Amino acid sequence: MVGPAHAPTIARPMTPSVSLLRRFDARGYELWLVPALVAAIGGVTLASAGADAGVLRGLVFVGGPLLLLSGLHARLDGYLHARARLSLLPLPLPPARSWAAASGPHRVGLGWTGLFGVATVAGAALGAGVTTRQALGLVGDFAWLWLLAAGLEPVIPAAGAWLGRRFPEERPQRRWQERLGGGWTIPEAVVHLYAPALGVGTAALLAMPGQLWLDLWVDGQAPPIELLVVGAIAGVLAWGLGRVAVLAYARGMFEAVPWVHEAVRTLAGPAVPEEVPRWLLWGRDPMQHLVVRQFWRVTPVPGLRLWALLIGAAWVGLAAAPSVAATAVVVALASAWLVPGVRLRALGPARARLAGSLPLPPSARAGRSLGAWAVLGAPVVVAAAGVVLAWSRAA
Amino acid sequence: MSGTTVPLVLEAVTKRYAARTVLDAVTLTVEPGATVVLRGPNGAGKSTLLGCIAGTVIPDEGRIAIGGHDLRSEPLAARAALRYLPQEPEVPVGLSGRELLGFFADAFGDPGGAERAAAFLGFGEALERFASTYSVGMRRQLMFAALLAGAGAGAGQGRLWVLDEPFAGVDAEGRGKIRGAIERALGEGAGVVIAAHDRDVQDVEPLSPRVFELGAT
Repeated sequence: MVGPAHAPTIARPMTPSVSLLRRFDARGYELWLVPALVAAIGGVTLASAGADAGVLRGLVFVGGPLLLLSGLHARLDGYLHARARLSLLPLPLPPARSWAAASGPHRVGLGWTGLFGVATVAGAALGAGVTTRQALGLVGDFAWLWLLAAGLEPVIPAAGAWLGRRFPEERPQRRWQERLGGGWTIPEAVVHLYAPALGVGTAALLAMPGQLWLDLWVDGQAPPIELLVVGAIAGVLAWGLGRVAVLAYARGMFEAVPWVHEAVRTLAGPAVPEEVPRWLLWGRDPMQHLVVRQFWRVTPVPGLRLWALLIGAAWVGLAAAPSVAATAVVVALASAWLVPGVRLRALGPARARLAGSLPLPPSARAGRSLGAWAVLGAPVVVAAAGVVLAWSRAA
Repeated sequence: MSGTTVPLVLEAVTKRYAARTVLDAVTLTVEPGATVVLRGPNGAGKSTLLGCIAGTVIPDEGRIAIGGHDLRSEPLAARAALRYLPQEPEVPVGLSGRELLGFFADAFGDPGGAERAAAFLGFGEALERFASTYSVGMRRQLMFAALLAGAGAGAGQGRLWVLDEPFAGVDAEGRGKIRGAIERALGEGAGVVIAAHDRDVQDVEPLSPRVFELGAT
């Protein structure tokens, strides 16, 4: 028998402060680095497009959702995917608290993305030579999309929690989970493959009436009032859905979090690390090799970052006339390459514990390696040389 | 069992990872005041079973009730009756030992819990330091004490303590304190599930445990 005749008194949880909860899952550069890079690339594209307002609107229409997508995973990570959600799951913490803890970094990431987007569109539009009115219209197009996305984005983790559960075989949700999975992941995690893009796509769709109204107004035409009404309704809908999303999240969080972590474990494949390029492992210094290996393994897509930096530097170095925007792209790519070093520094004490009793030089026993930083900094030096060469040639 | 709350009921719990069945219709009841020791070779499914009980792994089939509350349909009430010590307790960076105890006391709604847990630990000034600077044994004691921080207001009856290798890395004095706290909880009617290895026999034996063997698959 399970049912109690005298159930124990269970005190109502006082729920720890949200700021304390957030310390279990601190977020850092992930919230701004990739959007900054995408914004820089978008700025170059916009600035190169000429003064045709129609072309620029098309680019903002396409680039805006891409910019929002670029940082989406990092922004929404705290709701379901963060390690802290799983480790705190055995505690009687109301889902609304987890939601509140995750929504802080979400808002920070949204703020950075909006700032980068507005600055990029404004700067590039003015640089392209359009009128101030047209530039403001372009900024408005992006800002309206951002505003609707900000309202709607909470629906993405809410949908992930609501649909990221196991449904009975006879339920349509279960059939859709199996149909849309395609063998890529477990059925319960299928929603996470689609929800992000669908969420941003829905925001882009809802933003269209307002953007169209604004563009007609900027062009001096009389925009129909119906567009404004539909745009306003879309805004209310986006923000309304975003406000009630926490209810769906609360309904599914306790089940969706274990499923998504199980999916990540089973998707990750065998725990065999990727090979580090041999040229990064020159010399015989074991601590240097250790630090470089750690850098390569803790950095997401390290090869892509490295080649993007070198190709970007070559592009600027060989260009007939270097531009500020292109230089900014190289700086962003250099940052993308080097920023994981912050995490590497944090691993220093663990390296020191490992090497403390080994017959190594004092700096290596302390977990440090100048040689490793020289190797990892070399691509940045090469990129800087390319930029300096280009600018000195132009001067 | 009339008049009492059963700390843990597992009914035909099955868990599969792809084609591999890790738990096959596991059924287990832990009565008030009883200790169950999970035994089995590496890979037998001990961690998976503990994960199912703690709610961090969702079983494919079966039912789990903690303190009389179904883990799936009453997730908060079930967790309020659960005290779970994972094998590798995660101590977040940036929190002192005392702040961590306060966090658990708040989570369990036990206002005086942090002070009670601090007294149990007897860490003195060390409790004000970052918990991430503690030794392995100190961290384990801290996380065990954090469970005590939520043990007020009818600490025992109907509660379930799930402890994954609670004595690992802890010195003799600390092991004695942990064993004493477990015995007190048992005396108040809690149920205890412990995953332990052979080296922990001397610490577990005084609790008169029932051995629940999980076979390797």
